Amino acid sequence: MIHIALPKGRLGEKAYQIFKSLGYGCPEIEEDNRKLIFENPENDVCYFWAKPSDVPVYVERGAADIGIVGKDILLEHGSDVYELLDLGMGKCRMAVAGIRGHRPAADKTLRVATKFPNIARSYYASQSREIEIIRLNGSIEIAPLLGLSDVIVDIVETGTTLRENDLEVKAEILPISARLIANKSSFRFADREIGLIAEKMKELVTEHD
Amino acid sequence: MDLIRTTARSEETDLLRLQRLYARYGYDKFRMSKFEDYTLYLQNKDFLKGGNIITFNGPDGRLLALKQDVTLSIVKNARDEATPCKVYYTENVYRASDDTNDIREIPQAGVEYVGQVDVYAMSEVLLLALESLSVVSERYILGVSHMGFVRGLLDAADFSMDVRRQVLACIQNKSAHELHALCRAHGVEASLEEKLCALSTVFGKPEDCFPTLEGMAVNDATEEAVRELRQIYDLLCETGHGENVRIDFSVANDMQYYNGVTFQGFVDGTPRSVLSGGRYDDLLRKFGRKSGAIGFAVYLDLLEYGRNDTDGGADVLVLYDPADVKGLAGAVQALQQDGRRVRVQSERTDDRAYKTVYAFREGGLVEL
Repeated sequence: MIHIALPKGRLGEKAYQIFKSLGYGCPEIEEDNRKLIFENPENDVCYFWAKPSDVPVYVERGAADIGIVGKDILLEHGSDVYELLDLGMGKCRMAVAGIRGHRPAADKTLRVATKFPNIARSYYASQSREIEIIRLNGSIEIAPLLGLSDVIVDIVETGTTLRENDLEVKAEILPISARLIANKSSFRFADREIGLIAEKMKELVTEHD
Repeated sequence: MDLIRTTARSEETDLLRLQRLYARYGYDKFRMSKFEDYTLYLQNKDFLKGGNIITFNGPDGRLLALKQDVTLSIVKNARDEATPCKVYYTENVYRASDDTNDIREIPQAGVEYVGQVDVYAMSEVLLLALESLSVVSERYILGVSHMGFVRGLLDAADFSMDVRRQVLACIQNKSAHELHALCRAHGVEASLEEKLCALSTVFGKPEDCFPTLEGMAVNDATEEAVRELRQIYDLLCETGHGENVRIDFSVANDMQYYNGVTFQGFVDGTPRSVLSGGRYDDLLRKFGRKSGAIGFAVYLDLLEYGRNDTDGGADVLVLYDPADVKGLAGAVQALQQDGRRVRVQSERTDDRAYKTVYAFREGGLVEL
């Protein structure tokens, strides 16, 4: 039985539809119930929903054999998992953003508000820029508006939220998208099954491109 | 009565079995103290498995560390001699987790061979690795790679140090898509790009993979590496241990120290590798030695996951009346003779499960 960790939310639901279209459907998960784990012995597959940032934890520790997770979470968390495929879904960018037209003084320590301290630290280290990280958990955009920070490091999709709040992207750090990850031990014992799922998903994904 | 066979599998019995295994092959036991000089770890940080080192000031003011690794200490003391140093160890190592600051005591067993490393010596060490895995589980796999092959391909691509590290990370994570992107970004020629990306997907039985690997060879280093892998595998097959070996380049290790065959052992049901090792001649060079070296470590703490511990404690409960205990001790010992665990209490105070419950009355046991 293959255990699959799905992230709660839009991405997870899209991912489930992909699994279903490849023959790994599970009727239980589509029912309106309060169950947490959904099994389909016919397809030999078992799903559960997890908070997106927890998916790599379940996969790394073998509670799930495979999972779907955004590259941003993978990079921030630093998980020891196989990253088998770029699903090309949930595309966005990790970027530095700040108040439009504003350039913080180069000689001061840059205050960076972010939900991704590791990614931020690594980006600025590559620039040899000294920074102070202010760790926030949500609504990061208001930080520079209230003078809490000079810039933010956050995910940007369309950029609408930034624009409507007089913020702009200062620099793009890297592109983000959803990835298929696998537990390193499970893969070695079930390489055929997991490899097959990855292969089928890859075909589907490249078709769309 | 063989206590080891009748006791349920546990960390202690695994340790004992492993020790007996290594001794059977004529390896000497290596013992070390709990502490090591901190500078040894500081100067060789990349060789360590990671996690914070726990340090403290020794009585003479020197900065000491609770030992985090045994290989470095063995290598530090190894001399260039005709007799190879063939040692095994079962030691506790200490690590502080990076994120939670928990200090952990991790039981570790391992084998090191320091000296003239020939094909037979390498196959012996890999055989010990396979036998170690079979001690702890029936379902196991040893993934084998060769840093000479990986390096050979990387040299052909002429990457900078930084990009080499990124490429190695992609191979270790089986991210073929990221490897393709890296190759394209650095203008790697198409057939070489294909070969590099194949490193992240090649996985399977050696006899199935060797033709592919031979086709991927681009220079002397890669050809020599495949030849060496074939020779080692043939020797392993002679002992009947070939079936659990897989070619698997995601086990590639730090390029600074590991120059030849590298391997990792996995046990079904345990989420991380429980055994890790390889040929690390380059570490010996760093210590100014001419010898080669190959070895591995077994992480016994991870094996807890795979074990089916249904241990609820004792098998038998004997209840007694404190006023009537003549002959009780003898009756209890008689019960213990057949290997059962017997717990004696004056009253039944909880609902623990026992296989059998007796009451001791008037010199004899009555089953309840």
